[in-house]
Amino acid sequence: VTGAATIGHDSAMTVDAGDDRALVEALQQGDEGALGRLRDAHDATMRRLAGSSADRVVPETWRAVEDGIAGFEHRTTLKTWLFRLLLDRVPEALRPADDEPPTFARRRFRGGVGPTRGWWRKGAGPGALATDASVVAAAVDALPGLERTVLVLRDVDGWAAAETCDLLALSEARERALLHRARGRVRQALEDAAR
Amino acid sequence: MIRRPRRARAVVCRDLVEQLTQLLDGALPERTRRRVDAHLEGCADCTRAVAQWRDVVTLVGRLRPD
Repeated sequence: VTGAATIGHDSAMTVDAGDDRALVEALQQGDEGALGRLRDAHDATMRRLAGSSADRVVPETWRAVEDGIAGFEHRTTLKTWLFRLLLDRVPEALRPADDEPPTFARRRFRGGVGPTRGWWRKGAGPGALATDASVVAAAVDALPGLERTVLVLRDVDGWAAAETCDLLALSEARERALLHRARGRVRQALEDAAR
Repeated sequence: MIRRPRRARAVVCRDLVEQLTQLLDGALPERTRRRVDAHLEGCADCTRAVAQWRDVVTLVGRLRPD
């Protein structure tokens, strides 16, 4: 596979950097339509990742694409290169969380000793969730930076785990742990909002 | 010395919920997966937690603009 990037020492996952040659060629020839298609595909996700600095950094990133595309050498995918250009400008999107809360609060499970330790307390199982899109969006936007970035890429924009690991230089296990924490925080926020 | 066969520790709810993403990704080792499935057979709250985890992924996925 041309330009395949292996992720981590313990992972066999690869990202194929050879699939977007035609698009890159069109961009390098100044094809406005190609640039438009790239914008249509990625602008919304870039804005969500950039958060409050989107109006500044997203146009800056597109200018960097236009300035840098001539030197693009397929060492990675075009998408990964694009999002690296963005994330270089949004350090808060890479900030790890200060805490690692359990998926469900510890108090929801039985303590003590004996065979029921660690089982749900009576009535403490998963509650109902709010499903309104604005509530979901607020829950996602409130996530700690790196967790939000992983969740937006994986669950909103549909990136594969391998692509996400490659972009963020994460091991497979770390990426999954970040995704899990992010989903857990969103779940809790949606449960809180439904009360 | 007599060696007793090692018995796999039963999965409890508090541990299972920490593995929901791995479970949905199909990333649990086979042996763990079997223990998790056995637990889910008899635990309505954990079964609900799995369904809810899927719901969260679906709801977040709907944020993608058309």
